[in-house]
Amino acid sequence: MKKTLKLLGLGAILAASVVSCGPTNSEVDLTEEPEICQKLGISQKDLEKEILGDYTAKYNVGAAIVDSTRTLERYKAFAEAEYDLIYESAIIVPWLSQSGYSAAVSKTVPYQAGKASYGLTADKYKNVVVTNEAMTKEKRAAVKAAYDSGAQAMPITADSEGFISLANVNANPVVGADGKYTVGGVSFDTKKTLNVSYASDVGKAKYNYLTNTWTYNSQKYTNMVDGLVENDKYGNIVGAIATKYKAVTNADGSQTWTFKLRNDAKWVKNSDGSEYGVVKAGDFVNSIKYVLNALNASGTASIVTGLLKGAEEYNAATLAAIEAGQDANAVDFSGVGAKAVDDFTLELTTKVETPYFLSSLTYSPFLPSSAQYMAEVGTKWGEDENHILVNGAFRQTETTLGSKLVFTKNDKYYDKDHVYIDTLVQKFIDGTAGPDTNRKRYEAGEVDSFTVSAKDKEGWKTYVTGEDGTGTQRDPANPNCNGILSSGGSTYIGYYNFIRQNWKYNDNSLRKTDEERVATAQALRNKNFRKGFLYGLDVLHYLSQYKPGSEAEWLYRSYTNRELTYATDTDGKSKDYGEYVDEVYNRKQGTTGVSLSGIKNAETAGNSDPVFDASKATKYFSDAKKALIDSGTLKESDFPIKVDVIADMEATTRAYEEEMYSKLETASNGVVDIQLNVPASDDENQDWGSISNNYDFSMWSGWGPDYADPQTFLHTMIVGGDMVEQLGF
Amino acid sequence: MDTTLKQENKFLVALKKVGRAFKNQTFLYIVKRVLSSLFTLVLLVALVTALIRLLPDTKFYDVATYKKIAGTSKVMANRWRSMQLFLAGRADANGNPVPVLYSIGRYILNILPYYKTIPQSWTDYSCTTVLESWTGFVYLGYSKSMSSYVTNVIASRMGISFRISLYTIIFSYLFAVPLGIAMAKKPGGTVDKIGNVFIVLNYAIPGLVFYLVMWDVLGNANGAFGWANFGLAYDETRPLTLVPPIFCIVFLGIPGISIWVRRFMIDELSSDYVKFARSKGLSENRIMYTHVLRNAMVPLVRNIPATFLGAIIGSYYVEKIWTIPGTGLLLVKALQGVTPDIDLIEGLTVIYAAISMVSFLLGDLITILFDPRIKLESN
Repeated sequence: MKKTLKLLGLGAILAASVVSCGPTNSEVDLTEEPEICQKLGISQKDLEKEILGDYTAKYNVGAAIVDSTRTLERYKAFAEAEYDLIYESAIIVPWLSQSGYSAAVSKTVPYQAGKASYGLTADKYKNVVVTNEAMTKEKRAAVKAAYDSGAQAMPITADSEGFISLANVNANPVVGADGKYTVGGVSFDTKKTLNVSYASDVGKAKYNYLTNTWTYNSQKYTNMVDGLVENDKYGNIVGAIATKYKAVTNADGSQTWTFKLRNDAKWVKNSDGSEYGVVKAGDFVNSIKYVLNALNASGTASIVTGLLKGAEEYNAATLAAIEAGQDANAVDFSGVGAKAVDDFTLELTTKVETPYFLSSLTYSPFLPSSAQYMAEVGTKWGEDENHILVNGAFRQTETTLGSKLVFTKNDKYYDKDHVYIDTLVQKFIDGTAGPDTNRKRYEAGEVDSFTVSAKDKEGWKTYVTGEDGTGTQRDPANPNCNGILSSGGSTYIGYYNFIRQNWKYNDNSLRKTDEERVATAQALRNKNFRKGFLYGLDVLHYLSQYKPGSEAEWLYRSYTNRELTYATDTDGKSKDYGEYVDEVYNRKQGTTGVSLSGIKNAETAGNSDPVFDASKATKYFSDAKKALIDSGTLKESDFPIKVDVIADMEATTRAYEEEMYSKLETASNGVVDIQLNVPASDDENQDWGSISNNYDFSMWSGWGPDYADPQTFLHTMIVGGDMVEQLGF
Repeated sequence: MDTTLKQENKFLVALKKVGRAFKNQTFLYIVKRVLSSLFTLVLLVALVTALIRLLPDTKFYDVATYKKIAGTSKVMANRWRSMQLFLAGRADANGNPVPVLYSIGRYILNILPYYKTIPQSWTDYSCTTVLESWTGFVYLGYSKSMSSYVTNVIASRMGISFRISLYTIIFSYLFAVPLGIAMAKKPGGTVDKIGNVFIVLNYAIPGLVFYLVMWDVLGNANGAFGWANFGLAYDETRPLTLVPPIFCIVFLGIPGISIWVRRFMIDELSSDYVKFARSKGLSENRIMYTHVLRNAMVPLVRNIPATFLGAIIGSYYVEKIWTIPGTGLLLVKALQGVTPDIDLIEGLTVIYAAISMVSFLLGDLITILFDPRIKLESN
């Protein structure tokens, strides 16, 4: 009897699965407009233009100014666009940036590694020096003094052939025969192994650096593959594989960049460290060809098509070839501005004069790749670490999921004198571990550094506030603990889902009716409704649970991160691009001296948020409600508008989140009803946040820059930009 | 003449031996169990493959990326998708869906032990020219999340799980058996009472809480055991880091063994042969350790192979807390991902099923060794 039952059950499943694998069930229909668009009576494309159109037009003004002598004009136009993006079109609500101080204990010598707020250099472990004991305040101050006074200017004069040298004039000293590293008059005993912890154990780490856009992948391969240039410890662009360059503006307005490459950079197989030839100019051309070929669906192709001459055309031609069923690889590449003149001379031609071109070369699509090796491994190329070639400081020699990653120094690296560690061990810390886990691991000697978490009461007292409670994150009480200023990085933003396609709830009482869904979508189309969110969210209060005492410094109310790029103003002063955005803000809002950058704002205005203003929010919400009812779009009974927000999974921080949103609800006077939807697991969180976009409003995504120009941020939010997927487009 | 006769005799003897083996009930029992296990395994593969095929195709590629590509070209997008589905084994190289019966059949052929070649890398996704292949006997697939063959993944992570298991079994029996005996010596006596309190309290502690508390108590560098430097995470260069996890498993595992040792001992103590031995004047210790213990252990030893082989399946919480690179995390990790690691899930299911089948068979055989009275019947 049992046997028959089993077989019957099996038969039923088989039958079901045979039916279910038919093509109709599993395909995503591309021809039909999303349900919500049909109900709103507007096509997806038109809605995108309606929301992002004004901003895109202003962005285009700035993007059209390319002449390198008109940088100031470009930045001012971009600043106008950025103001529109946040304060007029109200598309995003920026709230956090890595711009403040963190209290951290570390055994690494400060100010030695490459510094950059864009590209991949900041994640490199080259130039990192580890010692046997925690860096004390005195030692740190001594090194900082040497760092501040020791900066040498990069050469700007060309040699007889017109080339400008990229040699690193600020190179770090080498370790002496006694194993000591001396900087700023302080001598450190060096250690050969660096242990760090990592928390996100993403199973599918991919090493295809020519298509990747995720930082958890680039953090690994940036240590394995060197590009043309990188950044030194002052943020200057210095040569990696390139030794010198020449930029010539052509008659047609394009600019030809010629790079001379070093001849001693070797390819090495990651698996065994055996040599695989020398890195040649053709390897860079091969990468660009790969990235631009639509066949490879590279996530970074848009960076290259925006820069190089003929790139857009080639990309379109390969696409057309695929559409026509022809071989995309056979499309003529000769029109693209990427040529190997000889083995060690590379010529790249940009569409127009591009002053930030060198900085964009630090990013993934410009890393070299060997065509011969690619052909050898075929479809496996980049699938795992052992199917790429390495020319950088480290090889990834061990990968044990859920435990550790080991990187071993590449002894055939051309600049191995500046790789001070033989082994880099990244130890896994489970995401569910407590806020004190990192500290305890440091105390047990298992890792060499940690950042003190405000949620770790014991550690916070020992390291930051001290027994008498006087210490702060900027100036911690413990002599081994230092306030470290993060430089640049990502800006986190709040954003709306204009075309929501998934409505999943773990709490059925939150479920919205069809009318409610349409009402939310209609309300989100109203600018004043969105401005209500912008002014009504007390994000400073929310931040105070992450960075108590220095939350104002972490606050960030414009999109482009600080210290990304500078331009000389008419008064002759070099100003951060962010200051131009501040100028626009002050002019339009009728304020003086307000800075949208938290760290600057904190200096003058203390612990305050320049934007949050509940009374403004009330006004905007009531304007929105009036307009929506007057136009006949919504009825009185449609209010309050239910807005679904993905809640923080951690219960301790959710209290702050709830407070922030309840303040918003109060300010809205019954216009908004925030529904916090709690994901059940990390995976559901990821699914809701970045795959099925199951939210009306979310604050959990950010953008990090790829090169030193505001365009890297501003380009993401234009029609068809890199981040608009998050907005539902 | 003589020599040939002798040779014939030898051959006949060998034949007879084989014949006798087939008459041997134990041998027949093993053959039958192995065959029925294989049949169950095949059914299981079919079931799991069919279940996995029930997942929608959208689980196997990133819909957002698909839509993004479709924004520029639908042909391109469909091409990209069929490539993803091909890599997931749900479509052929031309993008046509593969029938589920074909999937099942292919998997069964892959795990049957004969020499085969499985292509892994091609010059391009038209998959005409093969560049790299897997060769061997049992092919369990390629784990995408671990970037390695399933067999290699399990083999590389099995060692540490086995080591922990070995120590755990040794220490558990070392402490639990004497405790059980001591308790059985005088049921209701002081030792028995203390033992019972210990067992009840031990059972009352939730395992996960105990692990987390001990993780901190034993590992904290500023805590009571800071001097021992056990550490908070496993480090293969420092065997001492294994002390906290092993201690926890042994501690929580003791009652499970002690309680049964005590129970079987008490059962045996009231049997006739013990009374006979007592009346013959044998010392209590002699009765306890040579006669009673041996009989009481018979039902217990049956579980030893299962416990030992079960180590391959690993312990999820222990490995998670002490970040031990064992096999315990594998299945959860494979299932958790946004795109599930199908090959790993299927491979692990097959291996785990095979292990439990083998361990029950071994358990039966080990029981015969301990107790000659037990006979295995093939019917």
